[in-house]
Amino acid sequence: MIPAKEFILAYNELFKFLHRKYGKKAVIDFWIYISDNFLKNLDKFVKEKGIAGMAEYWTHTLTEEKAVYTMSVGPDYFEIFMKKCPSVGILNKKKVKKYPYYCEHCDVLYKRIIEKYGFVYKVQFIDREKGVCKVKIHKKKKNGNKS
Amino acid sequence: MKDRIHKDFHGALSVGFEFLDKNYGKKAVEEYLKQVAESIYGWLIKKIKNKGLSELEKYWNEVFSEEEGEFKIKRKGDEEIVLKVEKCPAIYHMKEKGYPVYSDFCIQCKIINEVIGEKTGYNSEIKYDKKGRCEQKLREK
Repeated sequence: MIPAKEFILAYNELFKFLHRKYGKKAVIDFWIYISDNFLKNLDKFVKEKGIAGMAEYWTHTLTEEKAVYTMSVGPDYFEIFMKKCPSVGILNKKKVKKYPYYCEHCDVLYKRIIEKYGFVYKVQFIDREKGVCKVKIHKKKKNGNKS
Repeated sequence: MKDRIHKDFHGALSVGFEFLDKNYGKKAVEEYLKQVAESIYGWLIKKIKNKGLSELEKYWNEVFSEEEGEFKIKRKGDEEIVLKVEKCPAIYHMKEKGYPVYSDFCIQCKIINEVIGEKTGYNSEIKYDKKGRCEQKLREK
């Protein structure tokens, strides 16, 4: 059994394997597949509770993964400032070759779900090597602008 | 305080196997797992080569205890080691949480053990029921 604590290493290998054998499109197709077939709990949280659901979901996962982050939650916005991404931390600690586009999986995986429910999802990769990024989500106005 | 393990990751890995199989066939799943074994478990292969099967026993004990599996390990020196799993924590967690389980999820143990065995001088055998019970054996060549 590949233990859960080694999953990030196996995940990183899967990205590298797909890219090497079939190109980057295959990696993106995989992220879409994961989003549609695995993140149903996030989908349910956002669908039923909106921003409160996002806070509940990420508080649970980021606590279990021991991330170092701050979360800001308002009536029409949700932000995460990731100071030490747990995944990137594991890859750095184990000194494995990181898939060069590793961080992009968060953009593809989550944007798909979040934006389905009337929000705008943006991620800013501040330092991919150290695992620092900012996720900003806000409610979309009917005309498409930020509320 | 005991660290919590994010066991939902087993579900994500299962979806990864499913994606590979569906789009590129079972051979791709096997090829990917060989890559995993060689890149992730190089340190374990090295330890087994240097110190013998006690290192594999230590590793199995650690991961199955951490994830609260039900298992027994029997080792005959460096001649043979048998891991009998009565409750695979990965399969039980996915079933409990309602995650789909890839039809041959257990192939990961088969391929990884084969690679470890090939590189350390052991024959690998595995029997599994795909429901969370299995017997994994490495026997000296």
